[in-house]
Amino acid sequence: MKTYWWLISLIIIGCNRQPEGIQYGHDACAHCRMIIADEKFGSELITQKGKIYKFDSIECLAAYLGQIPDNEIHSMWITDFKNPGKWIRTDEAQFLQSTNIPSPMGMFLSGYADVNDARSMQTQFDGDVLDWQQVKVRVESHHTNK
Amino acid sequence: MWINIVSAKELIVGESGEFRTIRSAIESARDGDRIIVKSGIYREGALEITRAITLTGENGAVLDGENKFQILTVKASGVTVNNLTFENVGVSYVQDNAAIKLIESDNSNIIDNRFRNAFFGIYLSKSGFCTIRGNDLVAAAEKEASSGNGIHLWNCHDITIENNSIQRHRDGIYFEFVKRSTITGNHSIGNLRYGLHFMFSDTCVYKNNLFKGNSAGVAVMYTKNITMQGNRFEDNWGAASYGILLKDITGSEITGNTFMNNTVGIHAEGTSRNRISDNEFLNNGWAVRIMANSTDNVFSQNNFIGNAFDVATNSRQNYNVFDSNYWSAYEGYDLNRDGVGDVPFRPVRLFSLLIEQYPTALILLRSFLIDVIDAAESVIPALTPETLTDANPRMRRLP
Repeated sequence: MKTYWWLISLIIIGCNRQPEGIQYGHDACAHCRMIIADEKFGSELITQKGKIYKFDSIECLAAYLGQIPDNEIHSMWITDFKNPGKWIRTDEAQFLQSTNIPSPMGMFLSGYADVNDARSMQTQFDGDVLDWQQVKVRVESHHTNK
Repeated sequence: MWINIVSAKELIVGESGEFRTIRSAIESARDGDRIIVKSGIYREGALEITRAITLTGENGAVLDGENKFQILTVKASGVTVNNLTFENVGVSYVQDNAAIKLIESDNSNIIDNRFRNAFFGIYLSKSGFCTIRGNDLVAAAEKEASSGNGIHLWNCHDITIENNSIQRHRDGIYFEFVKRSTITGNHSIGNLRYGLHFMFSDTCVYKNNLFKGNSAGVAVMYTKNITMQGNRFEDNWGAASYGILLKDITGSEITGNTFMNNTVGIHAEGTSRNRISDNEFLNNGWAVRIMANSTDNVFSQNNFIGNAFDVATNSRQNYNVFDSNYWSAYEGYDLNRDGVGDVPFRPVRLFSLLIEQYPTALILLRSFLIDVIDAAESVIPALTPETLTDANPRMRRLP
C-alpha cells in the first residue's frame, strides 16, 4: 500500500508542471536565438506534452505564440522583475511597459507578481501597467508594423 | 572680473594639491580646464561633469564606487577622461549603473582607463562623434547573470571604439540603435554572452578584432549594412555558440575573417543579400549553418579546412550561391590542370541534414553506416539540396 501512494504522488507531481531553471549565459532563446543572459526577463512556455521553451524576454515569449497552437500550451511563465528567479504565470502577472526600463528585445516590458510593485515602478519610471492580454496585443502590433 | 577666461587652468587634486576631492575640483572647473588627479584612492560616490573639461589621472589614481554608486556621469560635450582606474560600481537591478556614463555628449573621449569590477563599464546614451580608445575592462564574474556590458551604446552615432580589451562582462561591446560607428582592434574575451552584439543598428564597421572564448563571438541582429572584416573568431564553444550569429541581416559583408575552433562558424537565419568571401574556416564543428529562410547570399573564395561539417541547412531548398571556394573535403580531380575541380562539390552532407532534425543522431558521426549513406548521397542526391553545390571548387588553398 505504501508503494502505491508513492506512485500516486509521483503522478501528481508529474502532472503539476513547473518551469525549469534557466541556465543564464548558456541556454538560447527559442524565438530570437540569443543566449539568455538577464535573469530579470527570463520567460518560459510549457506545452501539454511537457516540452519547455525558454525565452530571453517577455516580448519573445509573446511573439512565439503564433508558432504553437493554443490548445497545446500548458502554461506560460515569466520572471518577477523585483525577485529574479521567482516564476509567475503570465495570466497572474502584471506588466509594465516603460521606455525607462530597457528589456532585451527592445519592447521595454517588465513583469511583476504583485500589482503594487508594478504600480510603484510606474510612479518611478512612467509607462503603462498592462495585463497579459494587453501585452500580447502590443507585441503582435509591434511585429506587424515592422 | 579680471580672471582670464581664455587660457585654461590646471586643477590639481590630491594630498598636496589645491583640491582635496575630485568633486570640489569639478565644481570649480570652467570649460577647457584640466583636472589632474594625483595617485590615491578616491571614494566620492557619484560624480557629475557638466562642463567641457579634461579629467586626467596620474598613475595610481583610483575612483572607487564602493559597490554602491555609479561613478562618473558626463552631461556635457567635449569632455576627455583618461588614465584613471575605476573600481567597484554598484550593481542595480533597475538602473544600468556604469563606471562612466555619457548622456547626450558629443566629441568626448574616453582614453587609456582601467575598469575593474564595473557593472556596466562605459555607457554612451544619445551621444555622437566620441572616441573610446585603449581602455582595459575586467568585470567580476562571480555572479555572471548580474553583470552588465563592457562598452554599451544606446542610440548613438559616429562613435569610434579602438584597441580596447574587454573581459568577463555580459556582452563585451553592445550596440543598440547605433549608426555609422567603427570598432577596430579590440580584444573581447571570455564574456558571458557575446563578444560584440548589434541590435537594430545600421551602417557600422568592425575590423581586425579578436573574439575569443565568449559564449558566442558576435551576434548581428535586426540590422543592415554592417562590414565585418579581418576579425578572428576563436574557441566559441557551447550548445548555442557561434562565431557569428546572423539574424535578419541584409546588405552586409563578411570578408577576410578567420573562424577557428567554434561550434558553428556562421549561423544565418532570415539573412539575405550578403557577401561572404575570403574567409578561413578552420576546425569548426559546422563552418556555416544557413537556414532555408536565408536568400541571395554569396559565398566565394573561402577556405573550408578540417570542419566536421562544411555547410548545414534544414531544407532541400537553397537560394544561396556557393562558388570558387576551397574545400579540404573535396575529393574530385582536375584533368585539365586549371586549378578548378572538374566535378562540382556538394558541401552539405546528408548526415548534417539528419542531425538538424534529430540532434541526438550526432552520436553516429564517426560510424561506418554514415560514411556509406554520405557516399551514396553524394552520387545520387535524394535529400540534400540539389542546387547547393560549388561548381568551381578550388584544388588548392586560397591565399
